[in-house]
Amino acid sequence: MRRPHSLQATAAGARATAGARPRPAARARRAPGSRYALGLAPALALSAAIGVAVIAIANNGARLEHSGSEAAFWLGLLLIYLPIALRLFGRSAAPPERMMLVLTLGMALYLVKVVHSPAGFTLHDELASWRGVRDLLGSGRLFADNPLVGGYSVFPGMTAVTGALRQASGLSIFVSALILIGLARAVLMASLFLILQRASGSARVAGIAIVVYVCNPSILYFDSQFGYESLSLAIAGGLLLVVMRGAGLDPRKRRPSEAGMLAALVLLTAGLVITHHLTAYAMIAFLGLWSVVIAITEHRSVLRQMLAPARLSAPPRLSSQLARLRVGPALGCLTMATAGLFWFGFVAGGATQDELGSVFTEAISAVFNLLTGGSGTKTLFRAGTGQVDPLIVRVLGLASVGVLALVIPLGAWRIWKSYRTRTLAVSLGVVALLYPFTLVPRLTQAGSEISQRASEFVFAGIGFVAAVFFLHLTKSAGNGRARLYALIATGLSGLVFVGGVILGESPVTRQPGRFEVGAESRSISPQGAAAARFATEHLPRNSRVLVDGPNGLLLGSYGDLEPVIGSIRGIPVTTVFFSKELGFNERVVIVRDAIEYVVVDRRLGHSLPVDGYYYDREEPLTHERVQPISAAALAKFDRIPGIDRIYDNGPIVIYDTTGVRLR
Amino acid sequence: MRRDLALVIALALAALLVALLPAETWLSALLLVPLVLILPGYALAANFFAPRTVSRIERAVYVVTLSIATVAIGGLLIQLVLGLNRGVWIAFLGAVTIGAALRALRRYPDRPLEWPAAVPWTLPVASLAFLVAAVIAGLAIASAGDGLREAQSRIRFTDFWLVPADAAAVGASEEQLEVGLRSHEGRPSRFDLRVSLEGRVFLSRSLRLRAGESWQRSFAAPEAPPGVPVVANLTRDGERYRRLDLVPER
Repeated sequence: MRRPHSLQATAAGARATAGARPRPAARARRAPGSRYALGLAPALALSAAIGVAVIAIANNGARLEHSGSEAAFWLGLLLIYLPIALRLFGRSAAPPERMMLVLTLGMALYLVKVVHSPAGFTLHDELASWRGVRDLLGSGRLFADNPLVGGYSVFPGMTAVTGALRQASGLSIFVSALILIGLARAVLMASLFLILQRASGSARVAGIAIVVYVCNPSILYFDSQFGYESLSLAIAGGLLLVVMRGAGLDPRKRRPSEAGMLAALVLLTAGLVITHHLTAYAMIAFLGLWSVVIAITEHRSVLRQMLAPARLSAPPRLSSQLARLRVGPALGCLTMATAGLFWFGFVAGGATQDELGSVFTEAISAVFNLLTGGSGTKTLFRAGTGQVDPLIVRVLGLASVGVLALVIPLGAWRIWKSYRTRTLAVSLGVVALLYPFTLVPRLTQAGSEISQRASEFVFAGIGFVAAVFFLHLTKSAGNGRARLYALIATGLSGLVFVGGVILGESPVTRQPGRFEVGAESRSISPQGAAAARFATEHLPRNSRVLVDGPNGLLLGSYGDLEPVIGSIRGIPVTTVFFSKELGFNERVVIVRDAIEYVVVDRRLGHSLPVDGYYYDREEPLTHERVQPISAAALAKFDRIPGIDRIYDNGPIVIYDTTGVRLR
Repeated sequence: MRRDLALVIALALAALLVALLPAETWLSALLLVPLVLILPGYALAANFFAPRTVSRIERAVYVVTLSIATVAIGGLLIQLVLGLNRGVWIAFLGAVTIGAALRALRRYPDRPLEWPAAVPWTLPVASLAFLVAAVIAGLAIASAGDGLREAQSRIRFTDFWLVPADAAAVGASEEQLEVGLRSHEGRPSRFDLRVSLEGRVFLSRSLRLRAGESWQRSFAAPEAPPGVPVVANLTRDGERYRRLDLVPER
């Protein structure tokens, strides 16, 4: 029977990295009937599923405030991570088993997010996405203004796919989203494995690299949520595979037609550009970097990278020039940049600048102030309520960064020594070296988001250099010593994984639980959902409403209203809540900003906000508040002529401001 | 004839047929989810990448990502001229799938893929283990759902509202108001509702609502001096509970 191509590729890669010593995996592959051996993958899938179940039980306990639920949560995570990591660090797994383990790991970590919010959306981007899909279903058109995240309206890729799934299948938006993002996670894991396998020529390197990749702080919740970034990462994986195939990074003899690859490249590029800005820009940057590395190491100009050698018989026509196009990183970069520029220039420029511009400028300004002594660092591991993580958690968080800081230069050096001729490997090494620069913004309040979002890209490089370093370390070790090294590496990567979860998610939102003030998913309450249901049934659609952040998400999505933030005539709209009286400024906000409803959640007066603000990052005393918002300030609307109290469910009251606006 | 592409065409046709049925069933979801996320990408990948030029896993990546990109781009273009609805989506995806599959059949008629025909289900124990793992994960999600419902059932409250109502909707000519409540008390509760103007009660109701039950009533807004509100008071099990006010007709 003919040997499958995929195994030829991986076997070639394995030979490149295994050295002279025959390995058990290689022997296993030679044995008849064992080519598809999944080894321990089924057993480890069981242990991962048990880990998910333990987390589900831990979350149920956390919702009822049972002691021990946090310990059970960590136990479940380690049950998912450690056995698979140990197997992937080891020598004996065959490539198909490694692929299966990588898929299992990725899907199990996705399910951690599912059991966190099993019946509905609770995260910011999820609720904003829901609004986009709902508007599509209602109007049949894309590009409807999204009052929660402006970018969703001009990057409608995910909205279109979810809408198609919802309308075609009849499933709910929530179930459609779970299917779509779950599939995207599986595709991301598979494509990343193939990319790293081809970059190194080794399935073992790819498996280990992904063990490290999933230590990035975004993997557990941010990249698992129903958000355009989660979907775009999968498309980016497919796109990078096409580019690699074009670049000839596969020892397979037969090569797909250039026209076919070009068509796939164009379709995936277009899909990515209309789905997510940051991922598209990251791809442009990476493909550009890779092209430059090729130009330097292979002395091939970027133009030569894009064109096949000229055929003398070909007439100088445009069609013949197009026929010479050769898919690779340079052409990929050019295609992405052209499409990205078009989309930015004609469709998404304003919204992208609004969304990313302030994030980047604030982060850069905060880092500049930090470096010049203009401001101090933020207090790490401290919530807005003043609650500080326990010592052990702080130690684990910092230790995880320390391990990576040590491994990255060693791995990068090893890439320079052994993989210098592999341009993709060198490019990934350069990406890994960006890690320290992504850490600096984390020391500031404004830069934390940038740092967090950079991790999902940078960790692809970090994983790669860590895997290359580990393989070098163990290549001449005997089996016993190699097992010991695998054990130590599993422990260290487990530390980095735990550290990533600690850094990526505050202790308050890591698990579900009782209501907390200003704490993202923990502030999404049944009372808030009931208010949103009332709003969608009884209030005019797209009415402008002043409301706190989490309830604003519910009212802006399920409630079909338009939450208002920012300022009007230089007056921050949040002054309406913080002032003790409804004075001139507050009336200016209501009248000039056409505020139709004000929503008061009286629970806000009970404690400080976990995220450091109640309504908007721009509100006074963000992250510096020492006392909760005054209950009297929240109650003032009850005694103001012209403001009607039209809805009350206990904690949440909705006021109609028509009387004030008409005076 | 390539069996894989024939199967793709057959599945697309079956999905189109199922989509014509008036009721949405599990069978329609089972056929129509692949029509969105799998089949268009499979047919396109069959055109773009000749058999045996890419591995099975790589092809699977292209199948999904090309499907997603096709739906996204197709939706974007179609909505410029047509509203996106179920019929439009299904017609578009069916046409792309069948058209691309037929073209691939013409281009590569007798070079079958190894996948999906040769997926190696050689280890029943392994398959069983994966199945058990999937069942455990499914039970974990179900348990999480139960846990969420149990936790939420402990949070007890009642929605109470007093809003202007759409007079045309209730066939009235004068201004209408609507008062209503929805119980989330987790048990049957007795409510007493009084709606008044300047202390004069003109609507009074005693209600007994089970958890999840709601009640609402529209009524003509009373003649009121300017700025004087209609007041709705609600008591629960004999205790003062909620109070709302609304100035009618401005």
